[in-house]
Amino acid sequence: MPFLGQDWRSPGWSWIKTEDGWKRCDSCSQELRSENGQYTINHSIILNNGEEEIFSNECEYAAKKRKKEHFGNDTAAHSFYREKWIYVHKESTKERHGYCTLGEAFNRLDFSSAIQDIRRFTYVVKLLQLIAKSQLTSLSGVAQKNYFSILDKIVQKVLDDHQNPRLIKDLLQDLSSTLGILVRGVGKSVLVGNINIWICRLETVLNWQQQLQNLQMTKQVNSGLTLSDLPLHMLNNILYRFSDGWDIVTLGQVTPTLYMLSEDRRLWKKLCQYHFAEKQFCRHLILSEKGHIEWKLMYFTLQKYYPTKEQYGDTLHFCRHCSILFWKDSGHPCTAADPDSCFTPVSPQHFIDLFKF
Amino acid sequence: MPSIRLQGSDGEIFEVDVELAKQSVTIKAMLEDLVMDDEGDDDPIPLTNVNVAILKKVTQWCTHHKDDPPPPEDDENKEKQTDDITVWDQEFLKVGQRTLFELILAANYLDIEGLLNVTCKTVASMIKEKTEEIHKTFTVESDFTEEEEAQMRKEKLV
Repeated sequence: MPFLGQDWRSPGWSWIKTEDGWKRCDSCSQELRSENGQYTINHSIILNNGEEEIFSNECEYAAKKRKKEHFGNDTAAHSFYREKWIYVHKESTKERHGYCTLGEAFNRLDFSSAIQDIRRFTYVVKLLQLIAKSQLTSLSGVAQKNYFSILDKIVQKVLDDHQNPRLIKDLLQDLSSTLGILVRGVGKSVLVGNINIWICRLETVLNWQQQLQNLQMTKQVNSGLTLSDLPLHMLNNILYRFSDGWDIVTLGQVTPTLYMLSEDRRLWKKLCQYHFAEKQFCRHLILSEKGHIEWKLMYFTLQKYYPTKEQYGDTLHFCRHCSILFWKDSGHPCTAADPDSCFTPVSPQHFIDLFKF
Repeated sequence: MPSIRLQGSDGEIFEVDVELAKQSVTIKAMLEDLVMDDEGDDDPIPLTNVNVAILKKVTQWCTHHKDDPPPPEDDENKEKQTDDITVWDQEFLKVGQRTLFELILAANYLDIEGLLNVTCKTVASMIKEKTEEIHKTFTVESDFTEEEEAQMRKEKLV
């Protein structure tokens, strides 16, 4: 079977054996479509500067019975259609159940629909940020295209709904500084792909940063209730839900009432207790003249020394039994006797570490 | 299924199933009082702070959530979580800001913990990760004078 792929690191096309011989996966889907409309196709469309390419190893067939007819009970069939999980290989042997690098995980886990879900958005952004800081050089060509296309969708989303701009600005800042270093400093020997593509990408990122900078929040014309019309305890309720001190400070700058609420010592005490441990307080204790603890100052000081707590609405999970990474609502073909006991949530850093050999 | 009648702030009467209405602690308490008073069952319960349009939205939420288990006791960890909103709730709350704030006030008045939680989380997630322009998002006229604003900007460099 000739190995034909877009670049030598990707798994190549997928092939299906039909009566007329071996056919590539996407052409096969045409025939199936004409036979009966019993399935859906979900292509991961990877944009390459306006040119659309549909990669055949990402077709998805909803009619599972049909898959069984074609492939029997062969578990290798999983590589033909797109399920949102990936096997993670732990030991370093020659035998692997499929291609499992960081880039491939990135392709298969369908982050482009994950960003539309508020529970997963911050998680995916954090993943992208960690990849931007240290893993760009390990991505295959396909994974790189996928990465930038997801980033493009995120930027468009932020420009549309004006939510989470600060988070994305941080991500783009990390990305542009890493790209700058790689393109100018290290260059061809380390980067996969033509250096000019990377220069184009750097320009795109700088362009996005400019667009976000220019993002003018349009003033909402609202004749009815506004935030400041809410009673104090409601505003407090909202303030107590923030896990980032900067959000409290920012909100406090809106009206004098909010300012007063945002300066409340108990609010900052709760925030410190949420993120940091008692031991860490003791090392950086800041007292006011009257002997009270200055919780707000302590929060910003502690933040410089220690990592803050991360909490996400929904994360990827890892099944220890099958060694598979998956989203909880997509599931995976688990062979364990007691599936629930094998799952652990995967933090973004843990995700990156899973693929370090 | 027995239903009760609620009278909104605009005078309109709205009928709703009793079990659903009991998700509101306020209404539940009112019902218990009414039973004790044994007055005419036909009188609708007056809800002076909520108009019928919002009541309908609240009823829609309560109908979808009627089989929810009671929320756990104050969980320290969950307090700071703003993005664990189910997809149904996310869609339900894709309404204008005015409706969103009215829902918060209604949930507060009617004392429906689940709805209050999810609406406040939504507002919090709209606010976070933004910059100073946040007041534009919420059409709040900044009450600060220029000197005060400059002072706050300086302090922000903490």
